[in-house]
Amino acid sequence: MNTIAPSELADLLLTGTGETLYMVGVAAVCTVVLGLPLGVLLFLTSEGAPLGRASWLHAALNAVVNVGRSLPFIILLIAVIPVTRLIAGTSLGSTAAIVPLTLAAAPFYARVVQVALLEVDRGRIEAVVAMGGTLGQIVHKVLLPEALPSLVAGVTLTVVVLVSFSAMAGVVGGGGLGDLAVRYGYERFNTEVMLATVAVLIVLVQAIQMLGDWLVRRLAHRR
Amino acid sequence: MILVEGLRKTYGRGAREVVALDDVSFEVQQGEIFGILGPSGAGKSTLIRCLNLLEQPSAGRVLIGGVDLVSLSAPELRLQRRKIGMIFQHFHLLHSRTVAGNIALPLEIQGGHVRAKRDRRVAELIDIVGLNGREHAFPSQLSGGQKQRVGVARALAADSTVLLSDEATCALDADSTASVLELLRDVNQRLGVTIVLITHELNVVKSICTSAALLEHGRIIEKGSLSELVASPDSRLGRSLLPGDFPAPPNAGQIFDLEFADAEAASPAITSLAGALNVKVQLLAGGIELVAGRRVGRLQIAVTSVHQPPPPDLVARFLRAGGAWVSPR
Repeated sequence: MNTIAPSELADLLLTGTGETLYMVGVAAVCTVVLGLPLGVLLFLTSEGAPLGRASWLHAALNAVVNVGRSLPFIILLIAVIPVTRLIAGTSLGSTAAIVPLTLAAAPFYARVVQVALLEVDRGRIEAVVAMGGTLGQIVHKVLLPEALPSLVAGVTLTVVVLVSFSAMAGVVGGGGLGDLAVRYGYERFNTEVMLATVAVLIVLVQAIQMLGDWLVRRLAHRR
Repeated sequence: MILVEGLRKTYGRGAREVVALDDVSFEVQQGEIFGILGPSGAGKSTLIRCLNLLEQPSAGRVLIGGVDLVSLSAPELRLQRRKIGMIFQHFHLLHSRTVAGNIALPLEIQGGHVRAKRDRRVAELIDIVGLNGREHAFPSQLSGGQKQRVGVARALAADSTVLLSDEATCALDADSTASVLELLRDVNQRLGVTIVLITHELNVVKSICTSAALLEHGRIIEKGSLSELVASPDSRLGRSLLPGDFPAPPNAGQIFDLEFADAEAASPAITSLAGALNVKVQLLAGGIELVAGRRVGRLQIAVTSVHQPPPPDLVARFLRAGGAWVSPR
């Protein structure tokens, strides 16, 4: 049984948490930036929606999202290394891990957005069409504000998924808490480090969920 | 103001084609309240949605203010739609916005208003629909009647000249229905807004419409000003606008059902019937109401005689001469 000094453990955890927060945080922002428009387009091009006639686009986006979601993350992580190198300038490290994380989470979030928008009463969209609203106005005055609580709940969901994906970032040297658990806990049989890491992860996910729920409650507060 | 010509709307193709509207034509004058009455499934909703092209007609023309909407490009249509307000059975207010925010929406869409001007217009509309003090409430905090008031204010916000009402009072209780109808009449008279409404409730047509059409199976069966309709003995719509149905008559002499479109003209004949024909007249049921400014009514009377009963056609002829429509039982 390997043991480790408390100060060293604290150091490891601190670095790991920092790396995880960095990867998940940046990836979450990129995911929303990419996934939100994708989800909005998926919704708009679905049958009966304002762009319902562009069914070819819907089919294409659908295929992209489905492919993105069916690839196991570990495969994606390695498969996109050339893309990663192109975007991040390197294929190793925390920054490099952000690219595959985003590519994996964006289709997921797009689906969440699509479902959230489907829940917006069609009549409200139609009311704005009847007022002579443009497509842009429909999106930013009706769809997004009306679905905002669900969209935020979806971000919470996606961030938690990102935390679990980020555990595999070690494969490309991304570090983070998951990597710590694998390297120390699993490969070196260091139970202490593994348990401590898992505890930090639990607290982290718990905190993310609580923050998200609080935001949703605030947004849905008076409507 | 509004001219609909040969409007046809079908769904599906070939053998599965369903005809929702078939050769519908009518005209609505500026300042009228035009009611389209029909049972559910008659195509009312499709018809009113064709008036602002929420439904694309399969054939025919829809002219509003002289502009044929069917021929417009998408941007031109958007501009025209800004002048056509619409209210809905389920209100369709945005839950993310307050009362004031919902009313401001058409102004934001129209663009070109500075904020202060927009706020002034919103305050004005809140005053018109009587929602003072509720401007910062969210739709979920309002009653159905209040929500529809917001709907009306929103529909009028961009200085609409036409208001389309899709079963606007259908989801409301009797009091709210009455107050929303009163509001519609008020905006019609004060602002000169032309209103087209669809409904399955006779009462709505009776209480506010100046003209009406009867729609059945996607066709207009009859149409006209309310005053003409009630005055025409052959009009089904006119007949249905007269006061209520009668209970089964008791077994007492000859029973006559009378209908009249002008109570003042008809009542001398009815009251003098007893003396003129030496009979006893018993009033069994009936009512008189004000419809389109006319006192219209429906009565059921029993005529008996101590001696020899007068021939029914004599009674009928006497009453008809007085301006009533008579059907002996």
